[in-house]
Amino acid sequence: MHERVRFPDERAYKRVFKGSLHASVCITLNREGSYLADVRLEGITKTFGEVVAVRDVSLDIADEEFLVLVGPSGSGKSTVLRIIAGLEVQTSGHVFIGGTLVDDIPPKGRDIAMVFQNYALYPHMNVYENMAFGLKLNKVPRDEIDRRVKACAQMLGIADLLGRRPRELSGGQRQRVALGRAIVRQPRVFLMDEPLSNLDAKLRAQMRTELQKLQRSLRTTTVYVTHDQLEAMTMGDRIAVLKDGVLQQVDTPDVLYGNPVNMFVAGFIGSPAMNMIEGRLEQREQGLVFADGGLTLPVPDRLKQMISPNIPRLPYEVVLGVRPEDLVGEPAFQEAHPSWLVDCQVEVVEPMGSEVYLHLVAGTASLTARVGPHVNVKDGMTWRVAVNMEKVHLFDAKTEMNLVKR
Amino acid sequence: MNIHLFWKRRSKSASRGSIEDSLHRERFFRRVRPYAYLAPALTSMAVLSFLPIAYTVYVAFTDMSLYRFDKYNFIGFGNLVELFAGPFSKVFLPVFTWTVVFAALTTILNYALGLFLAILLNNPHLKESNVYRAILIIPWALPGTIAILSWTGVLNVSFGPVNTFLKMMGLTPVPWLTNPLWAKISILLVNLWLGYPFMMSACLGGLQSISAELYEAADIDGASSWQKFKYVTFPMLMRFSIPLLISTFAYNFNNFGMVFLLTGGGPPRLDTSFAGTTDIMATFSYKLTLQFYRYGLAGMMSMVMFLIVGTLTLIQMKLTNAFAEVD
Amino acid sequence: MTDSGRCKQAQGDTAIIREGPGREDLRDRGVDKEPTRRKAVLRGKTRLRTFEVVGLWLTRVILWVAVLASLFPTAWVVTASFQKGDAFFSNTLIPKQFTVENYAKVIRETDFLRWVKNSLILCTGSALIQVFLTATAAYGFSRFRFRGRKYGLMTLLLLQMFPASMALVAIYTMLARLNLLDNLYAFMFVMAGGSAFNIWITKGYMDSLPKELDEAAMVDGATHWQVFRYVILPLARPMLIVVFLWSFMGTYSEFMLSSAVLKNPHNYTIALGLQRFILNQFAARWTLFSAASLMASLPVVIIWMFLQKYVVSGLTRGAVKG
Repeated sequence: MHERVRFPDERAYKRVFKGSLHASVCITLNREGSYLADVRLEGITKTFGEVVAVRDVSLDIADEEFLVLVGPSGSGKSTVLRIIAGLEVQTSGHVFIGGTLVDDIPPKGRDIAMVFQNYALYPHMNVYENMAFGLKLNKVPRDEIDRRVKACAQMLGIADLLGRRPRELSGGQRQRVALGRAIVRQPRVFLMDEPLSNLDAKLRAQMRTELQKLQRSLRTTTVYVTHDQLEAMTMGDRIAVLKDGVLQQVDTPDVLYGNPVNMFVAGFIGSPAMNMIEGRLEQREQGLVFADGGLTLPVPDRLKQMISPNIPRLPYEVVLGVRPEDLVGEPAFQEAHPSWLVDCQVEVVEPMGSEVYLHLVAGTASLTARVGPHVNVKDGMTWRVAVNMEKVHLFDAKTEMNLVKR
Repeated sequence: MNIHLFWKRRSKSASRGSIEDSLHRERFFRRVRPYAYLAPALTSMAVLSFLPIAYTVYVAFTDMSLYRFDKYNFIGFGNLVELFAGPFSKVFLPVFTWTVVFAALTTILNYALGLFLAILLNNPHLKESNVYRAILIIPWALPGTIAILSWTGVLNVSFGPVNTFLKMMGLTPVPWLTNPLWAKISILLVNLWLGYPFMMSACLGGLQSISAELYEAADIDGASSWQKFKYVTFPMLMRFSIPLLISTFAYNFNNFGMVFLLTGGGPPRLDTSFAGTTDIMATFSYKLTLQFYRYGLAGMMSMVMFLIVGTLTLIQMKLTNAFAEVD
Repeated sequence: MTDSGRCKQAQGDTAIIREGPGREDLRDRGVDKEPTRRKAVLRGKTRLRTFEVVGLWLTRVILWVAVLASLFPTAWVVTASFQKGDAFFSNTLIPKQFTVENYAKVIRETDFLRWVKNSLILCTGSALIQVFLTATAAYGFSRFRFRGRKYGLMTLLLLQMFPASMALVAIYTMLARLNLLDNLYAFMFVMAGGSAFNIWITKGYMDSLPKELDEAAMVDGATHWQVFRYVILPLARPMLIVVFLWSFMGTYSEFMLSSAVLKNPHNYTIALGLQRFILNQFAARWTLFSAASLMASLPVVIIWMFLQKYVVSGLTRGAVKG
């Protein structure tokens, strides 16, 4: 797909070489002739004293891709980002940016830009100076700086704020300035560390789409860290899920949602979270069934074929995973699949406007169902629900791995 | 909006890689860089503090003096014995006692007055508090040396304004700087005048850092003014007062300028010509060095002072946990 | 200014030092707290009970006495400086005749202006060097991890407690060997020696600046030196002003070392000159001395008044942290 070439222009070579201690003779171009900006992590491990923050993470981020690193707090996602930035030095493993090994190159030489969670705007500089700072350090000519800063401010709608200090700005405006500071640099890679988490909910939703639009049009490789699975699902081309410093799964949002590799990913992605029912697979007279204390559900043939190679013996301890939307209340569906029916106690009805979440108890299991707005259910009543067994997941109770491969 | 035009994407400069050399250099820099930032300060401290200290410690174990400047002998702890038990102890021990008494008394006096004034100034009903504060802080703003020299005039026995004032009131003039006891009182008074503004400011800062909510809570619990002071103000103040007291004590232990410029150590003592009645260890060792050339003794005295002040500072560091954050 | 205004100002001052700029979140919280305090003050102001009024007036009387006592010596020096005659033998506290002759005489007949010039060169130079040494070292201690970081600063602080009287001999010998005695510029470097206390307190201030700012600058392409120069230095300015001022005033008042090293009257500083004033040819010419010391104090007092808020809060912070 791409080839390694010598630096095409002697003068440019000299400029870069003189300007930076870490200049390279060998860089990589893609077909259109611009520099390729893929990011590659090979077996990255980072320890802080005894604590292992990141364990053996390998990841390929393609040129122009928007990759989201998601995970609960303490999962090491920020550490991975900071290692890519060069703010943290990995204990072992390698980082490549644009095909170049950057392990020993400080952030200055990596040609990246970063947006911080609390924006980290320089309090003693006004908005213009904040945005121009990086360009000035890189010795960009003054008129060029001026042109870029103004164009970028225009684009972000902060052109009339250029003379203000950060403390005179609202949260959303600061956020834009922080973005602008990254964009004017025209770096190879954007790194964003929970950039929206300090905004209120409405602004966050708005900025989410704006960020997406921006990245689509700039086509700059972006690594985006968040703990919010909704942000991850809506924004990422691909999502990398981290837990306790270990990479769980990297894939597109669809695949992550539809085909999570393990219980953690299944539970983390999607809201309300996937229902988990502990039980076991048994052979009964009607065939293979999933059974817990109270309920018995037959395993359809297609599912059975998918899981049978992964099951060494019967009965087998598993966890049944059902998405809230796969708990169906429609009479037509229920009539079609009478054996999937479960009688539930309705605990709480949570109307969300366009849909309703029902918190149910079936035997020992608590379930959440997502149903249409017109369902006629009240707290405390009994409600019959069909578990869509074609769409459930079965996880190995011990390894927590998904036994279903769709 | 034509983002594409604006974004001449990655077509300029931008890319960097690595060269083996620069990698090695970067690794080297990473290790050396912190020391490079410390180097200027450390160098100057090495030359101006550590070398002299090493020299002093060296000299402290010799009998170096004007007559034995080049052919001095090592006498171990001879100087220490001489100071505390030998014939010289008659000269030294009164100086030692006065040094401790002076440092302790002046610390307590300055703190008491500073705290008292701070509490008065912190009265929320006192609208013109700012004015008082600005005036009361003036002694701190004056250059210390000049202020002390002026005080020698103010306390002058024959024409100083203090005695003039006393005479006007029909009282007997006080021999401020010429009588041994009054000279000591003068030193304490002048040091109080110079030192209370700092204490006042520090206490005021401490008082204002106490959250108003604590007092409101106390009000609701039905506390009287005195109870509020006893159970809220005072314990909160103590938290930062103790290090303040210790550092003030340590500072005054070495307060050379105060004594040297106000009384010059005088009035003279009858039993010795080495030290005057108001000499503290700092001025005494200065005199021993520059007037009597008893380098060995003076060096040992410096070490004694260092041990006392250093121990206090260590205790203070422990108390304030000053270095807990450094790990 | 009203009470609430005063509280606000005081709070603002401490906020500058304690939190440092860039901590918007903390600042905001501080602002949030303010109405509570102001409300408390206002509520008290509206209804004063009798004993509170009596207490208030008692407070005032005590403070007036304190103000008088603290102004008394200064006032005497001021009046003495306008007194006619060489000596000040007077039975009154207020002179009968005012004259500026003393000031003219000081400037005409003594080297006063030279002393001022020497002092200003010496103090400004050494304070600038001091600020440079302090800032670089504090940055090093604040932003890098290295061997000796934990106990290094503590050891430096302890060692600097060593009394200076003997260091005098060593420094004197050193300067004599280098043939630099009586050299104002060499002495400037002696006075500028790094101070562990300054480094420590400035390090504390730099610690309060968010580390993300450094990182943002590094990602922006800054070297460590550029981070220091363009981000940390401007943000630490309030603290560095304090260090400059302390250093300046310390040197301005320094007596022990300078009296040993600077022997030539051409090199006298103000402190030296004024002391010789009393000891030597102008012995007991208090009126002249008063005029000279007033002129010598005035610039320092003015600077000090302008920068006072930094010093007070910086010191409070230093005291609180030990």
